[in-house]
Amino acid sequence: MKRSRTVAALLLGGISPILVACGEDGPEEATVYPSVEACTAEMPAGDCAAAFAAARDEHRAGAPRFASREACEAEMGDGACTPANEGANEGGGSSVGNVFVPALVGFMIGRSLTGGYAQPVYFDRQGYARSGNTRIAETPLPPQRRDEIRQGSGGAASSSGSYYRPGSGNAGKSFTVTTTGRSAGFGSTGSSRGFSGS
Amino acid sequence: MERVPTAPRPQWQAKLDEIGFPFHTDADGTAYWDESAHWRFSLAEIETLEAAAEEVYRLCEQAVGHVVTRGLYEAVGLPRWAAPAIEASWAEREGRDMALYARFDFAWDGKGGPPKALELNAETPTSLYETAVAQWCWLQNAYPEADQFNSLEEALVGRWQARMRAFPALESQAEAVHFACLMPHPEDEATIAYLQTLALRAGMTTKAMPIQAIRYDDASGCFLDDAGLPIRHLMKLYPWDWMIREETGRELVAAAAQGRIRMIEPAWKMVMASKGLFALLWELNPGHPNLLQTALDRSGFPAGSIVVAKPLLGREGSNVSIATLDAAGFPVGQPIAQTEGPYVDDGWVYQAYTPLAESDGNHAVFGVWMAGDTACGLGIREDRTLITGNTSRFVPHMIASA
Repeated sequence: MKRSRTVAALLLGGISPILVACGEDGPEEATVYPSVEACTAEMPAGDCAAAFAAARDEHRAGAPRFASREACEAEMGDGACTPANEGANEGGGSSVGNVFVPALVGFMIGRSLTGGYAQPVYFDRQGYARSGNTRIAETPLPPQRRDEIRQGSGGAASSSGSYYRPGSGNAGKSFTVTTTGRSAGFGSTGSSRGFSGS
Repeated sequence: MERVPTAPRPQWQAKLDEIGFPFHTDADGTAYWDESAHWRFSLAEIETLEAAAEEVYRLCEQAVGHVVTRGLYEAVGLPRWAAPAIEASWAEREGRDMALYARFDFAWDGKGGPPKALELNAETPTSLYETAVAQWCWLQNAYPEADQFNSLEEALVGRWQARMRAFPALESQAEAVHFACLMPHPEDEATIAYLQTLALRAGMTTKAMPIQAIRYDDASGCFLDDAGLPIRHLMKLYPWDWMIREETGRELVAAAAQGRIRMIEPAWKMVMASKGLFALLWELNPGHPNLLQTALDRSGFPAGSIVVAKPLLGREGSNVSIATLDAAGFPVGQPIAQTEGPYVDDGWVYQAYTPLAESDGNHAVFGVWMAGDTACGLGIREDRTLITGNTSRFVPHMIASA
């Protein structure tokens, strides 16, 4: 057979947190599909429900796990984490030794020869997208960045941009990070020529 | 091979919208995605195209090596000061500066002669999602039992995995790959999102951003993303030969030469992407059955030759003209066909004309996709004119069962 066994159909806007109109240093907004409702605005409802259920199952099985809410939020953003047993064990309540995971904030839908598949996607607090079953806890932020973020705003020579942090609990809130350096100036040639590949 | 008129799927526009491909119809209402026909090939024909693409790619790699070892940058329209990045990346082409992808354009009518390579789009090839996903879904809906020359997605996931193996920091996710293109630009953003999806499937950490938002920090010599974090790996859907001439182009050359940033595609791909490479290919392999006579000047063509003139660093079929030449290499009468465009400054390359596959006035160019040096897919563009451009229709294909 000379064709792929599966392909990853795009939920446009569902993968990248920065699929938006955006000028240099301008505000950025993310568009993710955090829920079945958001998905059904653009997709058949049955596909969305099935995909989200599959992504949630995989999320429960394979989400990156943190020993504490603090460790999880340091990586994923304030309010972005949830106890791992939430929802999966309605009557259980929290217990000693609870494990925290990032809330599922998006999902990829793919199509295969036999149907569909879904894979959960997480965005960390700097907009990095990570797929499911990875160990985010093993990749700490550079210490100085963490300090800057905690301080929340920049020094004299920096500019700042509003930065959207996806998260199921408080989607739409933004926080500020600092940016340093100068504009690299890339894109000017293509902007003037209406570039779209070759 | 055969062009088969075909009933479009019911609600085909909605089906394309559903898979994230809303670009099926141009702004003027004409179809860009065209499933009112498909091209049907025998397996032997597909294997002929596949072998031709891998053979010519091997020759292209040799030609890039020829340019790099002899410093022939002017011949391919590139400034000599870009050489440090090109040479450093060429030295690591089997590892940390490996190629991701490319797309050949082949002319072939299948009537006995071999396929002829027209050019290699080695840096920013278009129609990736159409080829890998949209026509795959078309086949799955319309001819689920049939096959297609299209393992492009699997091959690209494989390339991302190979890149991960070359960088322990990517494998551990201590480093990420940034994906940048012009924004806003819905089509390029969709392509970027798709490439990002494939990298995610390979297990990488990724981030998309507007190329205009990249920053440069003079103190550290690092390029920074919009959160102020250093960019270690940058997949840019934007040509190298433009970036190096923009504000921090020289800083980019230096950073790439020293491995402070790993570019995808790597800098050596700007040599491979030059249309001038095909003049060198002919010089190094005169008479090769998969190549057309190609030169940087017109004087070497026999009187009466029909010759295609293309800009050295052109794109999207712009500024191309087809004319008959006299003994001195000058055009006789009006051009047979020509297109307008902005690419008039960097020199020209001349290539012997050869007809494309044609059916009912539709001229089809066969885009053969490469992942690294492996041919892995076919995307077909059709036009009523002789020059394929950015409005030429994408037409799906299948492999007829024996």
